[in-house]
Amino acid sequence: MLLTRKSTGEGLTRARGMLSRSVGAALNTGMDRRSFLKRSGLGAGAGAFAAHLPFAMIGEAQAADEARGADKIEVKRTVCTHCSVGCAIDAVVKNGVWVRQEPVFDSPINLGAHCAKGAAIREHGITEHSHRLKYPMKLDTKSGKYQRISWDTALTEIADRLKTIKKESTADSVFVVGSSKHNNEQAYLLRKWVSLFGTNNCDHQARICHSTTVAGVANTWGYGAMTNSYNDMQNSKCMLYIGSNAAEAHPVSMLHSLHAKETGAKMIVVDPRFTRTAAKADEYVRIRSGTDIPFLFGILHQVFKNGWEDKKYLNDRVYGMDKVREEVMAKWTPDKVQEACGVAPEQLMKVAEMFAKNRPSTIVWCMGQTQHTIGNAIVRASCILQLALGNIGVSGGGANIFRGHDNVQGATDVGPNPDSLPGYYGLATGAWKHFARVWNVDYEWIKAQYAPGMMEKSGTTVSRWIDAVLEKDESMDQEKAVKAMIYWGHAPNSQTRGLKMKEAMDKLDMMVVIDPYPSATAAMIAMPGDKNAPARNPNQAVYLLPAATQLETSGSCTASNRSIQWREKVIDPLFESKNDHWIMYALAQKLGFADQLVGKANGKQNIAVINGEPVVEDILREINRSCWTIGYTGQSPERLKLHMKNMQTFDVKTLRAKGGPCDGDYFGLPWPCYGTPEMKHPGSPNLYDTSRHVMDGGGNFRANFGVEREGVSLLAEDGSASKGADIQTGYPELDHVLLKKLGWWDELTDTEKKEAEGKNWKTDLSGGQIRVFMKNHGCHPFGNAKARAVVWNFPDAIPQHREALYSTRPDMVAKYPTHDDVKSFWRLPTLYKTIQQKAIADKVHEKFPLVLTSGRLVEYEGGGEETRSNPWLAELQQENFIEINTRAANDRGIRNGDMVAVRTPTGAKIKVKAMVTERVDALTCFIPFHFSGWWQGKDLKDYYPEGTAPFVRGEAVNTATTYGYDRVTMMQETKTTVCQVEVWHDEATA
Amino acid sequence: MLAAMLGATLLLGACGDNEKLGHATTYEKGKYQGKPDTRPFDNAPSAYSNGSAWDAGKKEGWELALKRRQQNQNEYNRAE
Amino acid sequence: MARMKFLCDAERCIECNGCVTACKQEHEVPWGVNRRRVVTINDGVPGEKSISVACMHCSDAPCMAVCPVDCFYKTDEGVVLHDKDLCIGCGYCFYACPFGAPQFPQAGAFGLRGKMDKCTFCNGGPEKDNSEAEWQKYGRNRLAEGKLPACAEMCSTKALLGGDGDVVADIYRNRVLKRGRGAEVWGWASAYGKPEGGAKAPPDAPKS
Repeated sequence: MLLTRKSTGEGLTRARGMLSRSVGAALNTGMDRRSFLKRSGLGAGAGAFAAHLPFAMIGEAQAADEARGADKIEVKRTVCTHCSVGCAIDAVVKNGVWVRQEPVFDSPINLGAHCAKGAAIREHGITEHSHRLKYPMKLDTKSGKYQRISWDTALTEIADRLKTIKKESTADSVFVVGSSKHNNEQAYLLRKWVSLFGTNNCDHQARICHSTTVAGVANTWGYGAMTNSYNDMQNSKCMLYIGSNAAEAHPVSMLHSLHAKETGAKMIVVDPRFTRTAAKADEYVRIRSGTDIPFLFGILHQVFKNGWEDKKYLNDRVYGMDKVREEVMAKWTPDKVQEACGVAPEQLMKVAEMFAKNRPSTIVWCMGQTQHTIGNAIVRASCILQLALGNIGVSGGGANIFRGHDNVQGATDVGPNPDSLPGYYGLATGAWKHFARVWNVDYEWIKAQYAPGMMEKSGTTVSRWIDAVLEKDESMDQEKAVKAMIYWGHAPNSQTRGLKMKEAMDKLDMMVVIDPYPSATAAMIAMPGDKNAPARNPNQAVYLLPAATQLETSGSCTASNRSIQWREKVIDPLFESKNDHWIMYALAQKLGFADQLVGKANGKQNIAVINGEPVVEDILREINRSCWTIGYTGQSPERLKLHMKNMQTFDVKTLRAKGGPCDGDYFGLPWPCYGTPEMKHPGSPNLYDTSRHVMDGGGNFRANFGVEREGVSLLAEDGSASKGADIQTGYPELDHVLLKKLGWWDELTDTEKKEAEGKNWKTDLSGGQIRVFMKNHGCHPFGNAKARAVVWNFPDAIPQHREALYSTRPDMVAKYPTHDDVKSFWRLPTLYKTIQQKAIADKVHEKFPLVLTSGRLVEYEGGGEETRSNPWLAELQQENFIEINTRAANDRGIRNGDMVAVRTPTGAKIKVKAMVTERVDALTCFIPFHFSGWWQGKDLKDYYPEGTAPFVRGEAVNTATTYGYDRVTMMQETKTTVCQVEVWHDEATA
Repeated sequence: MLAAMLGATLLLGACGDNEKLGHATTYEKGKYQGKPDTRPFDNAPSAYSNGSAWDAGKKEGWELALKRRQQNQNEYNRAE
Repeated sequence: MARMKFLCDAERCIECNGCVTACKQEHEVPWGVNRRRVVTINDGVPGEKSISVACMHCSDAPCMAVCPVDCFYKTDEGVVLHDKDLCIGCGYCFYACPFGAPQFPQAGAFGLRGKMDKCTFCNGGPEKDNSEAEWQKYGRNRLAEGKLPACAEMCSTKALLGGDGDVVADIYRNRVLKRGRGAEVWGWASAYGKPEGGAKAPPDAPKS
């Protein structure tokens, strides 16, 4: 009515005009990422959909076909399979077809919220236009195309090859790259599978994600996991994000952080880029990539200078802080910090004060801290700062480490790690015997599978698999180089040095990809190699096996906060895909260890098998019986399922159930949930919290490093213990000797005594020692000790700043050089000094003057093939791009939107679109790492199996990234390398 | 009678008989010319209603169900 | 009941696009049709803010006013819907809408315009509720199922609120009180013009 009449009020017209102008302007600025990239998909996706009706009908049509009589509508509760926040989803299934998805408001973790990926997860149930790998395939060497084969053919051929390689080169010539996207049961079974095959050469995404965190943090105080939780951040007064872009990597965690901010918490973001997370910060600090230690120790310097440290806490619970203090006060003065990080003293002091004076304060970190040659030291600097402020073991404080994939935590805990059996037991004889017992497999039989002397030796890592293939046999700490790769749920474009990876791929005898999608591996290995590189191995066989997603099976997964959630199976495996555990069993059958895999011996069988598929609940029960170290024992399938059904009874800030069937439990029984399920430990929401009784989720630091060092006790001081513990001083970890000494041995039942005799709390399968120690006496089975600010078994006992191998600052390299080379490290020679010195000699900093860093986008996850095959996500990010500062762009004649060539010292030249922005400073560039499917300017679409290439393909930044590995864990140095950028010119010859 | 009907048709002819819509239309500028629609609460809750319940045709129950559900957008209900 | 409204809290919006894909997923919106999208200003610099935009279901809808075939109608709850069978695809509503809500499936050369498509507040259209026809043409009808728009229900930080306007206002008011600021949403100053007679203008939104 109003609009059809002429408006008389000037204000009204003006208001409308301004509104439309501002919104219109926003839509037209061309400066934000959304409008920057092509939106209407005339290139990528329109072709797929243009011909179809406006609404592509799926579920309903199929469901209608199947409906004879009443429709069967079920709601299956599952968990998003993308990141580690663990958002619950109610999947509505009609006659076996996934038709709707509903938010689970009841979930205490996400309260119904989702990011772009979680809200689009139903796409995984859509079969029309699916880009899934639908059936087993083999690469035909003549045509270079993938041909369909049967499951039986594939499994038989693969098994035969594996057997041949094992016979001729030992099992160590096979490398199984497992997955952080497997559920706990699959991850555990895979570690067993690899062990029964006879090698420790297995790994998964944690290596390139938080391996440095796990090593650094565990060596500081006991466990290497997130100490508190996303929810607990609501109790924080100040949150310091350093090396974390939570707004894009863990969007739903921001629900908790922004709520905290709204109720008075301060937010500080430290990052080389002004990220979307920084946009929400009270204080943003721009820092030079890789200089976290100077910054954190710069803060610590201020803390000590002003007497803000928690002296009692340090006295009671921390070892070695005096040594750290000495070094920090001398070394990290504000001017030195500014020289290293580029942070002005005023800002440093402001941040230090904000962080110290608003306690409890928490630190959040992700890849920004971990992906460096000194990652293990950087994370420890964060821990040390938190210890100094007394923030560990406190609600609202903690070291909140945001893990990556949906089950990277679980895979790290119980899955395919090269240096340990499940549960961080390690690889010593005692650990093997423990697992042999639990697995119901003869220890000697397992030993015989391994090459002599290899059973107790750490395997090599996924970050270096290419060197394990390309190295000379003599240089390797195993019989022969790796000849076969099984990429089991892992992407290749998340590892550095892509050019070398292609060489390694071409050299292999066999490559097997087991994945719901063909993955970039399929295209990379099918494409022709560089003309200057060695020719492809003529004897090579490449197989693609279609695995089902986590929506097509049930099982448990562990979120970043250590809560374990149970997923119900939503739909049956689509097309010809099979669940990973079916595949493991099927291959085991062909390889001759199927019985061992399910513990079938002596009239017993641990894990039932139905239609070739091991039963997941049985596998979880086996985990419950074996992983005492980290308390994966109390989370029985029954308890977990009950939690999923009663989510609304859990409090959002404390994660504790008040009343209801789960009364007293913490949601998801966050590990450690010690003892047998019968003991009903409630789980531990915040680690090391002495204000609570151990049966109430409380704890203290772990006694893992000895009792005394250089005359100083490593155990906790008198009076420092968890609430209500019968022993109120420090004490070592629990074993039968200690229990007897304390006079508590007779509290065990006779059955328990029989089993517990001669054992410690980690090998006592009855759980009796734990029961008596914890339930009867309130003591912690892993002892009560001090955290270590000085980790003497690490290359740098006190964290030292060292420049990246490829640095743009030779002056800083001279002051803070990297480590010496290592002759044999995770079975491979590993270079540090040589690389760094050569880079200086070659004047790399002049030829490649820009720091290149990489990271995440909210729309995609990991290597990206899965999410880029989802049209709803792919439409939002259609091209890979480089963020380059205005000044840097103008200096190079680059305009916003130009295609540019990014060159690195590896000789690679990748083609991406330039996004000119102030997000990065003039010396830094950023490229997202989720893309693959292009190779140095060439589209690899034709090398994918027919119809499976993702909608969106692009250059993988890791095609161009450089050599560099963490000195403790072999983590790759992806966050700090160098590049040069120029306008792209097509070359006459490729 | 026939004449009356014819006469009536002639009168209506000015307005037009719309075959597509299946009923006679009187085009009034500014008034909706499309198909009729039901109100959201006219039908009973379906299998997909996720716990929201109301009596078909009754507005109050439906409104209440929606408002209750809307509180899920306010996390302060579960965490101060 | 008050009218149905959307409100996107720019202090909380992190441009995660959850609302965008929630809508895509719920209604299987084809590539190229953006019923909802997130707009960001000051991208990459302090002051960066994002807001999720879709049809605002205006009280006095310009689209409805200009449509030559009058295919728009407004429900009692204030939801603006239209009849695709009547729509002639002229695009005039697109000219009129200040938010760019009307979408046209793009296909072929010259961007042939098909029937207009837009956010329905998850209330379907003039077909039998929850029928096949309604699903085909307009997507799901969540309101008829007793639910609220998928975008608002799935927002990652509960920035996007959607439903009864009074409830939206309550929820938002509570947040503003907690924050101590944030009532100066975009357009506040321009919506109500400059203050007169010595009254003070509302303070600038703080840069954060």
